[in-house]
Amino acid sequence: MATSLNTKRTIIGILSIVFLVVLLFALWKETVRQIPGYKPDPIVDAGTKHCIGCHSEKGNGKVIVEDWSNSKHAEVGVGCLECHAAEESDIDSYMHEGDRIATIVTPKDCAKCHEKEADEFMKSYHADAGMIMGSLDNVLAEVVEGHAAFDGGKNPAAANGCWQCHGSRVQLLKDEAGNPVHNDDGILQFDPKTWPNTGVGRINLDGSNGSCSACHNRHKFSSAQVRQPENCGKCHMGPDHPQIEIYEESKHGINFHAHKGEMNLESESWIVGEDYSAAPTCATCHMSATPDQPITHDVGDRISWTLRPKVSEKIDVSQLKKFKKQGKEPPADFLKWDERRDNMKNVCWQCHTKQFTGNFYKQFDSEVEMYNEKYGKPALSLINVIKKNKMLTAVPFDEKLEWEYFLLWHHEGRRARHGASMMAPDYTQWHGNFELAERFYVSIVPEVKELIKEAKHNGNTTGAAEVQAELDKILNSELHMWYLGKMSPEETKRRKAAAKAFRERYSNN
Amino acid sequence: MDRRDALKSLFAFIPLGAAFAGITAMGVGFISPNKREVERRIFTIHLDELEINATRRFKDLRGRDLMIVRTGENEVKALSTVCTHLGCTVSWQDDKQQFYCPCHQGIFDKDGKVLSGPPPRPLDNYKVELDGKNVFIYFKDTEG
Amino acid sequence: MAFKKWIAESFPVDQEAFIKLTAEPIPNHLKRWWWGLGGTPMYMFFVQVITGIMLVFYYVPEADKAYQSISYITNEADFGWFIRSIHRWSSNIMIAALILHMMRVFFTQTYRRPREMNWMFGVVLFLLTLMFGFTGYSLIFEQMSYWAMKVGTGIASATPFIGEWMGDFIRGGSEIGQSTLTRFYLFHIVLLPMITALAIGVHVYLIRAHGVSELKFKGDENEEKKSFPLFPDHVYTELIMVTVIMVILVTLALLFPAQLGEEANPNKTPLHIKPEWYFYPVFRWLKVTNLTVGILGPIFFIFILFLWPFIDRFFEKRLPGKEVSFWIGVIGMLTITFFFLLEIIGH
Repeated sequence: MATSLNTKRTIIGILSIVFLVVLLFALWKETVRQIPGYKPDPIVDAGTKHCIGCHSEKGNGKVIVEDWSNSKHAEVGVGCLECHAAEESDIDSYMHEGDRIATIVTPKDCAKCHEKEADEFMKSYHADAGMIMGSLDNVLAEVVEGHAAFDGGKNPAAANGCWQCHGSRVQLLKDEAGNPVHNDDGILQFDPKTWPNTGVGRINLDGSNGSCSACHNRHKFSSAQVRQPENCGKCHMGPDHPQIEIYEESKHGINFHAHKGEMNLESESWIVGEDYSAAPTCATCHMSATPDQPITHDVGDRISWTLRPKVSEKIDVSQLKKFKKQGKEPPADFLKWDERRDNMKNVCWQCHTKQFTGNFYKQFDSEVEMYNEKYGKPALSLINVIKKNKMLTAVPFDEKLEWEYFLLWHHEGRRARHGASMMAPDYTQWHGNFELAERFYVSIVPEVKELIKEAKHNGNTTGAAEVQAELDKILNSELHMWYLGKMSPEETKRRKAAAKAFRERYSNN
Repeated sequence: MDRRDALKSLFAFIPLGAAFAGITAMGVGFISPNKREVERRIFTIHLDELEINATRRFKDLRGRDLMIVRTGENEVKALSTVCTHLGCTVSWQDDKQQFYCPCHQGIFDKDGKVLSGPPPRPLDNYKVELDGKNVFIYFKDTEG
Repeated sequence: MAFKKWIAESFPVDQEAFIKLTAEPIPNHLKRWWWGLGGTPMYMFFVQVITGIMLVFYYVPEADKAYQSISYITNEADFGWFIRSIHRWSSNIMIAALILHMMRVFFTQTYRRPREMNWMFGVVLFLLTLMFGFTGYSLIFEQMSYWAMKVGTGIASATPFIGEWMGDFIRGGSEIGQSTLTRFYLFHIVLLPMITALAIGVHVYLIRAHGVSELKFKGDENEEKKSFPLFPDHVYTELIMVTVIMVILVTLALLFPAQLGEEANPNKTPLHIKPEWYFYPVFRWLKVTNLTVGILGPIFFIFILFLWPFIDRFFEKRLPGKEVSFWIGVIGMLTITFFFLLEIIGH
């Protein structure tokens, strides 16, 4: 079977056209070529190349350079010197291989490109966190738990504990003559108790407050990392403010973990309801953008209550008091509490209805107000009367009542309020209200009675009487009268009947 | 070969030739080096540090030699101080308000325009962006 | 016309001899497409040389840079994925076509006198192509490359008598390292191409010198002419073949582009090491036998293959008409296929 010349030629023609067609496909494939996740090597300028020359070859620098190479900074050409370069006027600057640099990068440095974020952050409570010197917590760390002067002033409890979240006051290491110390490689040394530290309210040597790397871990500065709740959980956890545990208990947290893959964490734009909708994270509600709001780095912008103090108040009231004390005027863009709540509601409304949100806030408000009325205010007034009548020593934390009271408002009082704020019923109940009641009735009330007895014994009859009067007033109030057996007979009867019916249904005894 | 035959041959071999030309072009594209260009936004100065008509010289700003001039309330120009003739670095003569190139005596005015000498074109301008009061300059870097 | 004269004087070419050499008539059976299986590998050798040279523009034969350079080719360079995929697929198809070609020659017994030497050159070409595949795959320096090098050079070392020397020579030392990569690179882009080009030249020359065997097929008896012209008929055939191959290669490159596995890690042996498919039968054989038999087996097989024309003649003389060669060939194919399938479905 011979194929004629003509046929052969036709076949060549057809095949060539097929060849051309597949080649066009190859051309198309090339033009739409997108390799997800592949990052070309960053383009570095002479300055950064110089740093990388040594730091990618030896020591810990290899990991830092590797981290940075995969970051957005490397992509847009922000290298080592863009952040670490310093002026001679900076007291923490030093010469290193021909460049003047500073080890610590502060919000002021980040502000060179991220001005809005840095400004918002530096006016927020986060940046203020380092101002705990002189607070009760500070006394606990430096005196009661630890010893500030330990081993030449190392202040271990504060340096390892409080300051690691709140931020230290960074100090240079000085020799006997008071001059800053450099090591053999010429690197400026810091006072070891103050550095390393990425506390969110770190007080920096350039006068700025705060640390961006408290949340934005270096040197990757990954958006995905910072959007995750675990990030906030580094500090916002524990017996006195278990926000991360509360989040994990709540439906928000459950949804997050179940649908983490759909959270689109790596996306540049991260607007709730548009780029993701599976669940909110801490950032979603407290900071991130909604379709109607931009990102804010002032974490107070959407908070209505302050749940931190012994008695909760609305956040604007609390902040205005602070400004007054400092003799400052509130800034022009100062938000009232209801404006902040509206901001937060805007986030809720991306997923929930107005009734849902409104009713939630009523539930939440009622818990906070009940805490205030039942525990916060009464306990505070008791303590105040006791202190006024000098029934406690001048030394804080040397007597049982001081500890009991501290735990009441600082631990379970906060747990109950926080639990309600983020819909974690178990925290609100068993870690919160139940332990509040236990603390109040099992510890504080008996302890106060002890103090009254002691005062009488010591001849402080006025004190004893005043405190007794206050205690009576509290226990006879509507919230506490059950304790004295003074619940109204109708209510007592009703409860007894309900309890009987319950027992008959469920228990065998 | 008659005309019909010739035409048939054309129809057969032109696509073949085109296809091979195409794949050769792809191959040439492959072996030609890829140049990647990255535009970078570099912070230079805060406006409060620069009065109107004042200049600031940057001798080695990320490897570049340039000068910025605040030409107005919110206007800044950034000029490259690389002479457009053969690449020497021009120096600024404050008294004469001009750039002078010592290599072949090229002279530019404060906007970079050529006043005299062999330079063929004005000094290069960098793109300037004012973000509030922060002056940013855009650099183009190529690698590849 | 002074120009033409100048060319004729400075570059003398005997036009008549040239035409005689190239325009020699082709025997009719070459009109059958089955006979294109010799030209196919040769054409693909050209494809490999050209795509290979292009890849050398970017490949860096350094142990800590090789993988990255292939990554650059695959992910960054314009059409890099395309050129690399063609190179990869072309190597696979070339070996497949070679095997089919060998089968064709074997079963049409066109290795018989006076073509024994040409057959032997053919076997050499086959082995060279396998070595091309082996060295080329190792250059990628991904996990499979590294461990294939380890296993391959280990087998070489286990050869009786010359094993140790051979292993060290191939590896450039007692351990796999930079010198191994350099040697493999040298083999792949210099030594093997040179030797293969020479061997192809000899192989083609011998074919032309002997003239293609004239065979008769049913239905051809009535044909008058016993041959047909090279140009344009056979050239057209060749062009069709070339275009078909190009279309297949481009399509395969588009649909199944060459991937890049994990980078080579001497400290982490992958759970499943597998060589390229054309080594499956040998690989399986090595798994089911001890080391010595495992190595001697393939050596014996190559030996038989190499000397086949003479073995065939021996059988022809002793047992004429019994078609012993045919049956040995069938059994040989079945055995190889069996081991091949075992490796695919086994673990």
